[in-house]
Amino acid sequence: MNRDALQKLADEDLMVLVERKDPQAFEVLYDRHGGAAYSLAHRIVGSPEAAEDVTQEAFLSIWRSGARFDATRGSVRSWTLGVVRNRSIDALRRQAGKAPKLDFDDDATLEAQPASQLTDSEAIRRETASQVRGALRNLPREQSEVIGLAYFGGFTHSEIAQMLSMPLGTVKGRMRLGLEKIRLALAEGMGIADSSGALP
Amino acid sequence: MAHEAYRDEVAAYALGALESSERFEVERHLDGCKKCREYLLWLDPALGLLPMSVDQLRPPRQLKRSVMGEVHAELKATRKTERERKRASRGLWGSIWRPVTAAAVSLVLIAGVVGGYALRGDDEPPVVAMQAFIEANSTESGVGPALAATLEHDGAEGTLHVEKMPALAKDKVYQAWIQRDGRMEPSTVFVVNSDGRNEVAIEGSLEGATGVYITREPEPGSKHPTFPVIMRAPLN
Repeated sequence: MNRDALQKLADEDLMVLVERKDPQAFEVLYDRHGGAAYSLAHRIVGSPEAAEDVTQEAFLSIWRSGARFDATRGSVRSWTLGVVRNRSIDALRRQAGKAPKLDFDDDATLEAQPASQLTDSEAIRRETASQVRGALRNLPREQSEVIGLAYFGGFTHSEIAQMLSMPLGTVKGRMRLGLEKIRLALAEGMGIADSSGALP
Repeated sequence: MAHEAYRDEVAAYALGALESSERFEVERHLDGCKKCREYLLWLDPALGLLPMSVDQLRPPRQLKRSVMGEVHAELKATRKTERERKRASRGLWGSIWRPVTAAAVSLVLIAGVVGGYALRGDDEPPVVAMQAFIEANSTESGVGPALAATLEHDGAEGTLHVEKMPALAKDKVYQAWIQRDGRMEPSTVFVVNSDGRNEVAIEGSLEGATGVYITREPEPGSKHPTFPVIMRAPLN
């Protein structure tokens, strides 16, 4: 299949080809999600070099075991970024004495390209990031805090409960409520193409 | 546990905030619970949004070159190894690599993958295809010649990539073992997803290990193997 045809495929169809070790399909997958993956890795590990290593490891892990993707558990994008996130947390833990950044409100000082130099997709990603941060700021602080500690910090709910001196059940409940609020906000205001806005 | 209570677990699972044993439990629950799988899928867009909240950067160009360079190098190595394996299996030398049925044990090889060959070049952490053994009279569902797993290791750390393994009865689990100095040390306990797949970190160092083995064990795992080996990866 040529590259143009591959680019029209949905992620799930691309993954079928990746599982069959199609390098062109894999390259399209990288092009779609590599930017978000690198940005996430950078956010967690804190340096461009470490982010590059982690992103490479994550994508090669996906290439080698693409068969692990399970469509009943979530989208290809979430799964791919989940692999990157997990590798980033592992890398962070291996760095002696390095604590994860816990600020959920991301204002890291990073090299930023001027808007005029961005490609269309980069500009869209930037705009989306700004909108998403705005939406997340609307979450109650206690919910965004536990979500940030879990997702970006790699802490388990037990560790979070200890850190924040609160019961385990409270931590998990806040995680659930926070994620549900984000999900419902998406259905209401961010134009996600999904008819099932209501909780299943 | 009622579904409403499971939602807290599923949300924590989605965020990667569970301990490994808890994750294992939730995955088993998800395998059998359509409502919870629907809930997890419903949460998915929210999960997808979290990474988008960080500053979006342009990855360095050499990152893609490195990734795709590795991909093409591995494909080339795999094709070469496959050609060599086919050549070897055609001659007398191939019989050394084909595991034989031993009358003294209950193991019969139904499907064999030539064990232990590295899928990558010398400079990279090796990926070892695991060799499969299947009991002749196994009653587990889905047992057939299609077991497939690879072990990726980097000196001390290893990761099992399980691609095709049958689901087990509720009271059984798969268990990995590290062979070292003639002893089998218990390692990770795991189950597979509904499609026979999983990725698990090998608990324990692989330094000095001579092999990694997989058996089926009663839940929650055993201190010593109680069932025959079903897969193994020799390590040098």
